[in-house]
Amino acid sequence: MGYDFSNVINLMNQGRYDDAENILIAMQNHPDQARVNYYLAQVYLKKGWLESAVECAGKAYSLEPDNREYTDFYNNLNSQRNVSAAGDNKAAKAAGCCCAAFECGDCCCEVSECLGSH
Amino acid sequence: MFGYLQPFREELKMKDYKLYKSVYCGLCRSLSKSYGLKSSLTLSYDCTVLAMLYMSLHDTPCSVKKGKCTVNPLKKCMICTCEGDALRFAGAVSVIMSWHKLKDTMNDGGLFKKAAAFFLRIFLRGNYKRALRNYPLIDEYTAEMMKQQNEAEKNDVGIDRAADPTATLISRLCIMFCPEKTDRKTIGVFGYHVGRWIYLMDACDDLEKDIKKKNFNPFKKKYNGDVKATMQYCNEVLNMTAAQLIMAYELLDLHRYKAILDNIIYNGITIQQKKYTFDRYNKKKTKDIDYYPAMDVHE
Repeated sequence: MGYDFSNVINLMNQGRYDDAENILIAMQNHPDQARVNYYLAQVYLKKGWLESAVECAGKAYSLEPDNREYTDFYNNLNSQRNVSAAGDNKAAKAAGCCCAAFECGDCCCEVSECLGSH
Repeated sequence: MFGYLQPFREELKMKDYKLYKSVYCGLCRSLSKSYGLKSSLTLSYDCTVLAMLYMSLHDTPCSVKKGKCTVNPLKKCMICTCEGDALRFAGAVSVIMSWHKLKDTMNDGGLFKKAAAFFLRIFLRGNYKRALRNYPLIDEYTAEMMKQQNEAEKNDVGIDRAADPTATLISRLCIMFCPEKTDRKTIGVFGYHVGRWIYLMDACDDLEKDIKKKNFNPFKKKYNGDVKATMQYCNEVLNMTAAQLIMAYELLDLHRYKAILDNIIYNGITIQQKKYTFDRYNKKKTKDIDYYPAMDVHE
């Protein structure tokens, strides 16, 4: 049984994520399951399958919680879940109401649809 | 497409909002010119964003002129015209996707919906044929997507696999209109996550209905039908998708409409997400105006 992941890494570098995924899934009896799951998470991330990526990264992390590589990867992925991607919409919050800026009520209404709430 | 990609209008400058509207009206005009007036029915916000992205990636001249609304000639509006293929392309996407969506409704919907879809399809048949003749590849990709989507729903797959067909379709469409000098991989990844976000938003929107009617929904299995708990989870999944989408977006070389596209990507997405995941389940409905801190202080 090989411990070498160079084949998987090569496939990933070539952008052949489906092939890499198939090989990794077939490695169910591989002794280093943490690394299998870590690479699988990377493949899923490249494919855009984010939930599967988080799941596999979580498995790798729980199998070897002391491994810095796995912990950082898992935390990085998880941090994207809990923070709204565009921040807390601070820019939008800082904008203030436009109504005072426009004398033309009609056009203001069209933009903000907020006159009703005044 | 479902119309979830919209700008956060309060944050847009007037000139940008007018530009956005001019693209919307330009697309409507282009649709009725290329595929007949009836095809204006298929117009959506998402296709407007697609047209803007197309025009933004290409440097072909575009102009805005005053005109009359295509559907209501009494109304004056600003209309965007573009020398390139952007508006025709987005129009074809709109018509072809609506056609396939109607076909899907005919197979899956209730009796009333089936009948409505049947008549709408007869109504739009000529328009679809014209779009198909001009852009056979869009039709091929969309048909493939619908087939894969149906298979995924039959097999009751997870979130990633369920969102994959729509995401792949949008990714392919983005690559189709991507100019040669742009990195195809970047625009592909951007398109993929935009498609994924749209699909997941739709799943979020339909969750309650799907639980009641026992239809397929990728979020249904999570939390065994507890909608409020599931919405928290939906928001997390959408956040992550948006984070990936933004990373690819920032690498794109945009020539125009950057302020509007920035607004849609950085603000619009967040607001829409909040509306569909949390606000609809709160007793007090949040209006756009409630996002302002000034209003919080007065309360």
